Amino acid sequence: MEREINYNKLEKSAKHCMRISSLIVWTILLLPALVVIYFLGYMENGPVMWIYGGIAVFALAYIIFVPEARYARYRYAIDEEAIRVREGFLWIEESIVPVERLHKLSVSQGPIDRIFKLSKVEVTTAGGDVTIKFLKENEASEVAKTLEKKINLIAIEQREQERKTNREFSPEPQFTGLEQETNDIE
Amino acid sequence: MENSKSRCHFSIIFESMWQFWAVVVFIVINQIETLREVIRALSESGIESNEGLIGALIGLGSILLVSIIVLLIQFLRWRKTWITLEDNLIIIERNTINKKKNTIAIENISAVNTEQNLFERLVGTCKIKIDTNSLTTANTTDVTIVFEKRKAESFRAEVMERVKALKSGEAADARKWSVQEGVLQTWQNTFNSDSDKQTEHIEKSYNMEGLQHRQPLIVDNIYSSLPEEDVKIYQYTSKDLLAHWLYTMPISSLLVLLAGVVASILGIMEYGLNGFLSFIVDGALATAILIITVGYNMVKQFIVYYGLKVYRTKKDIYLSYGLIKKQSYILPVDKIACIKINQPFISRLCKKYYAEVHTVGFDDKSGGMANISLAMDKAPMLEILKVLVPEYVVDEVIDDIVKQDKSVRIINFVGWVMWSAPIIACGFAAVWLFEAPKYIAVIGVCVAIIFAALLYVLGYKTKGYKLLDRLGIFVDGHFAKRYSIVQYDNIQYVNYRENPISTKFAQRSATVFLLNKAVGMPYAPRPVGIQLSDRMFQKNA
Repeated sequence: MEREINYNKLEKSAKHCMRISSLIVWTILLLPALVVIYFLGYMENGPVMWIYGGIAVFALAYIIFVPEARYARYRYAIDEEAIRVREGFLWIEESIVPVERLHKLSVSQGPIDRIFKLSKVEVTTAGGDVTIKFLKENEASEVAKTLEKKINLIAIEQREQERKTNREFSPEPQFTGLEQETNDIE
Repeated sequence: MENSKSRCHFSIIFESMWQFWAVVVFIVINQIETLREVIRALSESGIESNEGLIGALIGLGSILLVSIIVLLIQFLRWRKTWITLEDNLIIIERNTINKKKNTIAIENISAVNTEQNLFERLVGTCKIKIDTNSLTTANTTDVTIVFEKRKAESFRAEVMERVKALKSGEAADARKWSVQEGVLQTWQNTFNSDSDKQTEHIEKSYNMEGLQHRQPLIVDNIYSSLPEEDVKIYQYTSKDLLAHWLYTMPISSLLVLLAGVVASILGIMEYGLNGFLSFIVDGALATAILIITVGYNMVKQFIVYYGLKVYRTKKDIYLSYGLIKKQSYILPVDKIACIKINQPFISRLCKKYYAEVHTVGFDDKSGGMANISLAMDKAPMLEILKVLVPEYVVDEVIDDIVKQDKSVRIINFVGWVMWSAPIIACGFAAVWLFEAPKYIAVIGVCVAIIFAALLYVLGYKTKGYKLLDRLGIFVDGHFAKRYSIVQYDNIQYVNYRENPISTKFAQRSATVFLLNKAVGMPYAPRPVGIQLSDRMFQKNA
C-alpha cells in the first residue's frame, strides 16, 4: 500500500532563480554564436538566420515555460528514514536516499541563489550525491541542522551497538596470579 | 570530547593560487628593467612624454590591481572559512559570495593523510587530506586543510581518535589483520612478479592503523595457508576453462572470425589457393593486426582465468588464477557490493551461466569484479554459489523473474521512434547535402533502425526483476543476460525515472546505486519501486 509522504514545495522565488539561470545559460550559448555568425558574414544569409531565430525563439519559450513546469514538479521530503527529491520537466526523476547512508552534507549558495536568498543542500552517500536545490536560506540551514542531528544520532547509536557487540565477544579480562600479586603489593 | 573551531593557516592565501603568483613573479622578473625605468622617470622628469613608459605603467598597474583583487578574494576566503571539529562531525564553513558548508560524518572517514610540499616546508605548515568512502569523490580528496605543522598533527590525531572510537567494532577486525601481518610480509618477500603492486596493496591496508575498511589483499600462495576448518575448494581444470572460453567468447570476435573464414573460402574459390595466399601476404600487417586482436580477445579469458581456484572461509573468499600473471586475492564478504550471474550470447543459447563478485577496493583495472565460477549449467553453479556466497543465493534465486509489463512495449516503441527520427534525418542529410548514393543511404538507415528495433525487442525479452525478503534481483541485457543480485543493506540510494509515456502507464525504471557500482532496474509498476524503497529502509525501521 502506498504510504502518505508529506512532500514540500519550493518557494516562488525558486522559479525566478531557475529563470535567471536559464537566461544566463542561453545567453552564453546564443551571444557568442551571433558574434561568430557576424564575423563569418552570415548575417545576410537567410537559412542561417532562420535557424538562429528558431533557436532563439525556442530559448525564449524555454526561459518562460520550463522553469514554471520544473517549479510545479519539484518536491522534496525529509523524514525519519529518507530524503526524497522529485524533479524534472518531461523526464521526471525521484531520488530516495536512506538517512542512514549519509556520509557528507554540504550547504552551498551561488551568486544567483544569493540574490533570491536560496541555497542548495547536497547529501553524499558512498554511492553518489543527491541535491535538494532552491531551498530558502533558513530552510536549508534547518534541513542541514536536522540532518546533522540525524548523522550524530546514527553515529551514537552505532557506537553503542559496537560497544555492545564488543562486550558480547570479548569477556571480562581474567587476572592471572601474577597480576593479582602485583596489585596486592601496590 | 571537546569541540574546536579554527581557521586554516594564513599561508593558504598564497598557496591556493600559487600558479597565479608564479606567473606574476615571472612577469615582474622579466620586466624588471622597465620597472626600474618607470620608477626613475617618475622620480625625475615624469613620463608624460614617453608613450612606451605609459604603456608599461598601465600594464604593471593592471597586474598590481589584479594581484590586489586576487589577494583580497583569497584573504576573504581564508578569513571567512571555519573548520569545526565536533564529536561525530567535521564542519567546514565558508561565508564568501559562494557560501558553502560541508558536514562530514566522522564515522565515514576512510583516510586522514598529511602532506607537505616545498612551500609548506619553508612556511612550516602541513596539509591534511580527508577522504570519505564515497564513490563520487573516489578520485579526489574530500577536504584539504592547511594548518601549522604541530596543529595539523594534533588535528589529525584527534580525528583519528574519534574515528577509532566510532569504529571500535572494526578495530577488532584490524587487530585480526595485524596478527596476519608477519605472514603477509613473508609472502611479500617471496612474491617475485608484480612485487611493487603487492607492496602498494599491503601498505594500503595498514597505513590507516586499522581504520580503513579491509581491502582485498594480494598474497602469494593462499593454499599454503589453508585454514584448519573443513573448506570446500573449487578448482577448475583446463577442460572447464576451455568450455568457459567457448561459452563466453565475445560475439564481435566470433563475427570477425566467421567473416574471416567466409572471406577465405570465397578468396580461395575466386583466386585459387596460391593467388589467395599471395594476396594475404601482400596485406601482411593488416592481417597480422586483425589476427592478433581477434585472437587475443578470444584467448584472454583462457589466459586470465587459467587454474582458477576458489574457496570460502567464515568471512572471506579466496581466489587464485592466471597463466602468465598469477594472481591471488582475499575478498572480504562484507565488502561485496553485488553478485552477478552472467550469460554471454553463446552461453545464453547453450543455457550456461557463470558468476562474478563485485567488491569494493578489488583490483580497479578489472572494474572491481572477479569470476568465482566458470560457465556451467545452472544447478551446479547455484550449488557452488550456495557454498561461496550463501548470503546472496537462495533456492530458485534466478527463477521466476518478473518480466516487464506489456505496456513497456509501447514505451519502447516510442523510444525506438525517437531514436529512428535522427537516424532517418542523417540519411536525408547524407543524400541532400553530401550527395551520397541513395541506395547506400537507404541500406544504412534500414540497418541502423532495424538493429535499434532488435535491441529494444531483445531488451524487452531479457529484462526483469524479483524482490525477495533480503535480496533484489535485477536482470539486464540484450544479446547477453546479466542477473545482478543485491542485498538491500548495500543500496546507497535509488534514482527512479519516468518519461511522459511511462508516466501514462504508471511504470518507472530505476538506477540502484551500490558501494562501487550502479545497477539498472527495468520498468516496473510504481508500487514495486515503493516496495524496493521500503526494503531498503527495513534495517532502519
